[in-house]
Amino acid sequence: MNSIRVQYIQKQVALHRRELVNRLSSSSAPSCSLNGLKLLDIGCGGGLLSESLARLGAEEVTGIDPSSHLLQVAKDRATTLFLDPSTTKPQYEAITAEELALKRPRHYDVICVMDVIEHVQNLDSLWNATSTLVKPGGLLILSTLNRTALSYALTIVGAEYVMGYVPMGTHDWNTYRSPSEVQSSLERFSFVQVDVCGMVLQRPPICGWDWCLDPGNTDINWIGAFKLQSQEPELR
Amino acid sequence: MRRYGIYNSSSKFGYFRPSSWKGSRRVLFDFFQRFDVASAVATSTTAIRRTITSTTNNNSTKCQWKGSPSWTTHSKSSFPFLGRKRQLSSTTTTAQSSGIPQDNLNDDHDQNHHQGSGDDGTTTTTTTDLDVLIVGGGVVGCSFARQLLRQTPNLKIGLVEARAGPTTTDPSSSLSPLPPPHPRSYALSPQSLEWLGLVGGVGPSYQAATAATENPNGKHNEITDEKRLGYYTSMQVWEAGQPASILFRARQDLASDYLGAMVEEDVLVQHLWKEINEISSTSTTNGGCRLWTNQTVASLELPASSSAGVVQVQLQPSSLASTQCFQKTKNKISEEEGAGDTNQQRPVERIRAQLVIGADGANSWIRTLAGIARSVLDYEQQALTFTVKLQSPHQQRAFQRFLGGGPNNHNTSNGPIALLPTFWPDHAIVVWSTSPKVAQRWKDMTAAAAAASPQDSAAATAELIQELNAMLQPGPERLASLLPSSFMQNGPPPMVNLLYGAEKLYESLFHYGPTMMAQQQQQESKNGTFMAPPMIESIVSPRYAFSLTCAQVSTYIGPRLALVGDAAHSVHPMAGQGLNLGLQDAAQLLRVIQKSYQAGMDLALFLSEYDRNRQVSVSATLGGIHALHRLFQPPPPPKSRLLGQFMLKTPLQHVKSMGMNLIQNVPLLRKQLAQAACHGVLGPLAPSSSSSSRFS
Repeated sequence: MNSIRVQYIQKQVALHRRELVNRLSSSSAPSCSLNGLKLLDIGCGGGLLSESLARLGAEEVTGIDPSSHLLQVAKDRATTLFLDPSTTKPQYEAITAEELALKRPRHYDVICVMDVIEHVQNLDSLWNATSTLVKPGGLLILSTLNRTALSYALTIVGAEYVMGYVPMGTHDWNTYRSPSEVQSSLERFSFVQVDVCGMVLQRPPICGWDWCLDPGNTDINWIGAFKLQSQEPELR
Repeated sequence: MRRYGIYNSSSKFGYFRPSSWKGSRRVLFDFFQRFDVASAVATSTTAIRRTITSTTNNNSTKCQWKGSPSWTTHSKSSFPFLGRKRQLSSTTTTAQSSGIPQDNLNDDHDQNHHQGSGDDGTTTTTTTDLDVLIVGGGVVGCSFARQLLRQTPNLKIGLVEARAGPTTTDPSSSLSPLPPPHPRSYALSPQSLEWLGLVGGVGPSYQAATAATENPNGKHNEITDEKRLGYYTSMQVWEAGQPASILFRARQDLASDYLGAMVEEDVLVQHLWKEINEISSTSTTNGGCRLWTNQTVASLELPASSSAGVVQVQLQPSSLASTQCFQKTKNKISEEEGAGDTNQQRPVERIRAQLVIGADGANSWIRTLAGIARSVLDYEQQALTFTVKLQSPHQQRAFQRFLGGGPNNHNTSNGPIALLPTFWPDHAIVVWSTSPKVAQRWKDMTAAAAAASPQDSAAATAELIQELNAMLQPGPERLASLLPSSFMQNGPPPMVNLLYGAEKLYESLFHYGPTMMAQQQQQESKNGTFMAPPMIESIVSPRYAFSLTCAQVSTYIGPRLALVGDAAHSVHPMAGQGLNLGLQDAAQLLRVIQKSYQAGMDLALFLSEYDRNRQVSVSATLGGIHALHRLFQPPPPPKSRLLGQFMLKTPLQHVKSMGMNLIQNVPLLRKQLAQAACHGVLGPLAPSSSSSSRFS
């Protein structure tokens, strides 16, 4: 699933690059697609997404997570796997988004919040923090689960109770958010939705997982891009 | 000693009499065993695998690496790695005596020390960081490096080869006569040719294929420019003691202009090295391929798991700069060499790689260092191969005749003999699979006789040529009768006449009739029918012999390690699949690496998909070819009465004749077989990762 999230991020960055960095990317190779950008991964966990972003040519990648145990795993991986000094190494910090917002306001071009908001108690303070952290014209890429009957049947009954893919109690269906809910709550913080897309499993699990992006089907997993409106007129 | 030659040391197949229900159940089980290919390979290798693994695995640590072998047997002690150094003890002692510092390689994976000098200050250590390290610069390794350079341009690649590097060939040196085709050649399917970049595109016309080059700038592509591709457009398969034959033709069965091409190994590898150097030197990305020649791997430290660290490899100069083909490679520093360098400076090459690919051939050193077990089924045959000059052109047809079915053939190991066309119309390569005794006799006899006296050598060569022609020239033959001859001679005449007539009717309906029908259908095109192979005139190359086995590793992967090509599997050459399978491995591995590369993920993340795909695909192909081998070269029949009657040669010949007629007369079956040879037996049905992303 990480691969399609990364591809989505690359695509949105490519579409909005002019607003982000005021120059076009010099080459179309995937390894340079995030050149010159500063990214923040909120809820990075073991660092899977942060590492991918770092390898794709980002200038700076920070991953934050309240769990210091997971962060230690991520830091170990970064030390042992990122040996080339010329490529970016992801930085990890064990603080919350609100604390980081006090330290580095308007610092990041792209903020990624992947499968985090269904585990967060106070969403408004998170939105406040992200709107402080991201630069004007920057992107917030968010993925979560939609609160529908189908998602309950598949992700809670199916994945937790029947198949046992994840431990029981991992997800609470009441914390799932639909794209329109998130859009309306983010609009209070000057975010505008620029894209929303669904993520679906293409083949049944017997032959192996195969996630892919499906713009029409946001019933279960969805990913969206939101841009922070800037007060000044945008440079074109 | 048991009945079956191969099942010798397995106690399950002891001699028994089917006198009870249990016994007859065993008979049935045994019968199905003989034709049940997957279990035939699996159970027959159970006994042999133990001897193989006990020699390759000196470490008895319990395996904690969970491979996923579903088709082949595997030994649980196949992964003693667990983050510890693994070096050959002899290398360690000689290396220490020669002053190479060993304390550079420490167990502490979290801190990657880069020590500039060694213990005594006289050796320098250079450390290189790479993304992918390919060990083995043969066809599979080089073509994989080339495709990586083209498809994943930002990855840093390294290639380690034990032999010397490419020689600089002067294209204008065409004054010297071009050498005859070297017997070390490969039969490549159209898909393999495309992967290697030797054709202009998918399904090109024959004329364009010989003229087109891969590079649009029209750079010198010495293989296609000099036309050293031996295209073949048809393939004829028949057997002794049988009227049926199968003729595969390129246009009808593959919808292409050729079935495949024969390419010499050294020409191909030179071409690939040159292309790699060209792409590396002209690339503007920070990728590129670095070549190490005359080097082998001294030590390989794999991490305990993909997350625990990268692979540390240390190289050493190889002692086989002048290796000939088919010789076993020796990978230890000899005692004399090690001791002699005690006081000299020896630069130590260390490489840290995210992924190591073992492409170093059937006697793979990387596979041994990693402790991956292999199930081996020894056919107890050797293939004798050499180039011959023909009396008439081969007309781009490959001939293969099975010898096991003839009534006079008592040597059951006398396998198929193949005559493969080359790029010169009157030269062909003979591949004759036979018992080791016969192979060594012809190999040694001609070599020794040449040294002794020219007349003897000429006589011996003439004898060999006569024997080859005797094996290749006979065409379709009559089937032996199913009815016992004693009854036919002495029985009551009305009964005998009736049975005789019935048998003739049956043979016409099922054997000779369909054969003639097949010949009729093919006559509409030129060379559409059975053709006797051209007579062999002389032998124009040295003779090579190599052992034949059917082998597959228990797991294709390790932590940050993957095996491709002959390092992972071996197959009987009768179907010409060995290198094609290896190139399919490389193509699948490239897909897996590309999947990670496009998303910026760790290259070693999706290796288990590669393992699963190859386990299934290669097992299916190996099973199919092993089934063919067992069908045409059955082991001696058992002594038990019930089974013995059924397994007699004559009924088997009848069955095979009907089968071959069926394949020849039903175009769908023939096409499926031809396509299986190109794509692999399972083809699109093999489990694989998803294809390219939706947003690219």
